[in-house]
Amino acid sequence: MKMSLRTRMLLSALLPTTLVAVLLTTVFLLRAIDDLEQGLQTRGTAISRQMAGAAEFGIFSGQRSALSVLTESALQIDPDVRGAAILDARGAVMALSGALNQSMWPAPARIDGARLRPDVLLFVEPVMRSSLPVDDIYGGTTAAAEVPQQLLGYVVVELSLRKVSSKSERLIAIGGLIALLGSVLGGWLAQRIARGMTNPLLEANEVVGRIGAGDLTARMATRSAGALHSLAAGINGMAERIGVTQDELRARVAEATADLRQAKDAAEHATIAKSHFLAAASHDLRQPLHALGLFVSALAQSQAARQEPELVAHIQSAVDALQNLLDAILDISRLDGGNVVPSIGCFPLSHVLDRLGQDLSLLAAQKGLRLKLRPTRFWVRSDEKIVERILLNLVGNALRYTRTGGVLVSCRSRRDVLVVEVWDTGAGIPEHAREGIFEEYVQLANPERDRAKGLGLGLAICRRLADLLHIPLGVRSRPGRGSVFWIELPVVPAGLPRDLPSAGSASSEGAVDPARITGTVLVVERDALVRAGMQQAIVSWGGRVLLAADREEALSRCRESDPPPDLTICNLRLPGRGSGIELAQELRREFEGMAVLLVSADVSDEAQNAARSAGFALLKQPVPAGRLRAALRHLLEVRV
Amino acid sequence: MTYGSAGAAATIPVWVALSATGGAHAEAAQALQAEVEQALPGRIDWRVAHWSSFTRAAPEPQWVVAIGTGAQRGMQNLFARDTTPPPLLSILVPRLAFERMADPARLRAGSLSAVFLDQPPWRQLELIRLALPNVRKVGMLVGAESKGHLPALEKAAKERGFELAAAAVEADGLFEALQAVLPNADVLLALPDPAVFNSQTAANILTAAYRRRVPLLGFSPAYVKAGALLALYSTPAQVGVRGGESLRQALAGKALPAPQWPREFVVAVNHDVARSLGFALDESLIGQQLRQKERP
Repeated sequence: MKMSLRTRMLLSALLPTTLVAVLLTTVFLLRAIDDLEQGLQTRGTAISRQMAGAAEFGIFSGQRSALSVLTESALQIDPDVRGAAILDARGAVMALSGALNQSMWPAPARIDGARLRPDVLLFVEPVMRSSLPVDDIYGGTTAAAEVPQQLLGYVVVELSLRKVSSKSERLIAIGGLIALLGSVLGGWLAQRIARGMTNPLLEANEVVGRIGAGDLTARMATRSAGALHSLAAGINGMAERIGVTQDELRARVAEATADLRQAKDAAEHATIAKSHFLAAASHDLRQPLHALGLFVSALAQSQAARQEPELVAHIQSAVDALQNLLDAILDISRLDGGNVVPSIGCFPLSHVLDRLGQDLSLLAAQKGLRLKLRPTRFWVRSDEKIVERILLNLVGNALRYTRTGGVLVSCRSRRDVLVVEVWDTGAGIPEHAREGIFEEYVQLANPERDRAKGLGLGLAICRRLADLLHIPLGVRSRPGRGSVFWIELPVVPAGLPRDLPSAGSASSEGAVDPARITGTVLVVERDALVRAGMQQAIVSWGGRVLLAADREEALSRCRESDPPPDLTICNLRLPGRGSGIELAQELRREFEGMAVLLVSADVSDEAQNAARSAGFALLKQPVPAGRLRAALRHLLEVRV
Repeated sequence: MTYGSAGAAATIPVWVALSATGGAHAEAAQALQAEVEQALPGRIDWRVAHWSSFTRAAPEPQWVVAIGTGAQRGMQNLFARDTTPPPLLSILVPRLAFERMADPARLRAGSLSAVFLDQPPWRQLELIRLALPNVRKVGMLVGAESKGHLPALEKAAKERGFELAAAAVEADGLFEALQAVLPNADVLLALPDPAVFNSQTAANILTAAYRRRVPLLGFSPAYVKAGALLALYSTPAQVGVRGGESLRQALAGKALPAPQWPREFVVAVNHDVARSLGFALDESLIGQQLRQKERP
């Protein structure tokens, strides 16, 4: 750019200058040389004519000496005369001076400057007898008769072109010098002018480039801009305005951002507050619901149930639905609140599938569906609990929406991932609805919102959990034939060291007798209703129950009892000093071999971790009756 | 140009035949007519035309005037067969040319006469004596025609004590003739002879004469202009007047006078040449003296 612009300007100024200089010089040179030769020609003609006039009488009178004087004088008249000669009418030489190329002369006739040799011009002038008008009646001729002019002889003059040539050469040299000087001067001027133009232009270019790159402090030096002063000033003004405008813009953006952040903070604050409220409300709802569950369980074992079994079953179903709903809402609020931190580890997926089978085969059987879980030997790297939860939801959903046929869970490895697919033979999902089903409260086949068909929160929770683990969750479906929900889990290559599965999942032993438990259970629960519910349930399962509201009471009950209780169900939160964990530890120290089951409505990770690190099982309130019974049986058996 | 007849029986038909219409010939014709009309106004029925336009079919003229050599030859030929041709007056002709053409019988019978164009030898020599008193030797270049003047000139020279040196000019021998004449001449007398003196030769003759410091006496005003010292000649009008006098004389019943020289003449001087040669000449004085010599 720099070179080309300068060169172009230089050329555009230099070219015409040089051209004009060369042309003018050439024209003048040609003119001058032409004039020189023309002058020589004219001189030659003049000399020969003059000599012809003067030689007439000499030829007429045959005075060779007089003619020689004439030819000699011609040599002296003009230094360019090489020689001159006078011939008679027959061509014989009468007088001759100088060096002449006599042998090269053509036949005598008038010749005005023929080139005899490259450096010799030849002039031949015939000498005619001059005429005097004396022919009249006195002369004897009546009318002046046309007498043909009589030829007397010739004058021959040779001129040398040597001087003219040397003068021409000198002229050419001078002309060339002038042209060169003109071009050099033109070039120098052009360069000066070009520099005066290009420098500011290049600077303007650079400044505009810098402004374009964001450097708004870039300015042109207007003093040096010369002819382009106004351009420089314009660019500077433009840069200034852009700077001002950008500052304004920046301020406005900052302002808007602050506003937005404030609004966002407010919204987040509101969401958190809502979540807190929801969590609190759920927690508070759980306590009575727990009790209700226990009561219903007890009711189912009582005499009354035998009289009204359907009524009890309905109550049971309603309580279950209520518990599920509460769990789901609580889950979503926890996930949305960002309180769930996945703990990634390696585990064999078969464990998860086994537990799924245990948990859901009963439901499948109740609906008359076939549930098949194809075993796999792959280990995967993820959060085991969350994966189990996702699959539980997916399989539960599949069972829920399938009327006939069955549900299949299969795994296939694809490169470094394991695709876990849940197949069903349900109604399928139309294509337009496939994305919507992952949102809250979307149930395709349940416009009447029958609770028995689920709450519509399952897939929403799955999506959140999958997002939490950063794994893909998808669906493909053929309406009328069924659907396949799938997740992808990273595979742990065989041979790598694998973490041992976390505790708490070892309860894969088959049930001995689901109906009964034996032993004494101490229930430490602040809430009297829950206490009563638990007592009723445990008693109905065949156990003995001691009740305590707080630590002191619990300790005294244990000391009073003989033998001491086999198991203590203790709420994590107790009135007064000390937590449930501390009490449990205290009891275990005092009464060696005592099993402890912690329960809590607070199922935050923090609480779970605390329980786990202390070596206690923790159940989430409200505890379903079946679950509680299973836990009790398990702990009692281990202890035995 | 024809003058219409007066209708009167008394008018005399006269033909005036011109060698060339206009110029010297017409001037001479006018002078002649004026001279005659002065004496006999209205008596002449003039018929003036170029000689070739006259034929025998026209009414016979009583007198015929031929102006110039061509007209004389034409008129002589027109009436050559006639036993009694009308009398012919030829004017403005050189003497030698007239004499060559003239029928001696008619001359003797008086029906042919002339007024010459050239000057009589004695007048030329008298002029030389008057203008250049120291001159003794007179050179001449003569050709085939002008040779005829020599006898009369020699006679006149002898009477006046001049020496004549004449050189005959052969073909391409002009310079030799000049070389022969000029060393022996104090003055060069030019005689009308187109073979010797013409526009081609005039310059070299004048130059050669000038180089020898020999003055030239020419026979026409052109020679004075061209560089001759003197010229002696009669103007066409002077010749015409003399012709008119002769015709008037004849019309008056007398015979035609014999062929004669023009009586009036002009002496012309080139003062530049005179100054160059160291002469002081007054042409009017010389002319007057010359006339007095002829008519004391």
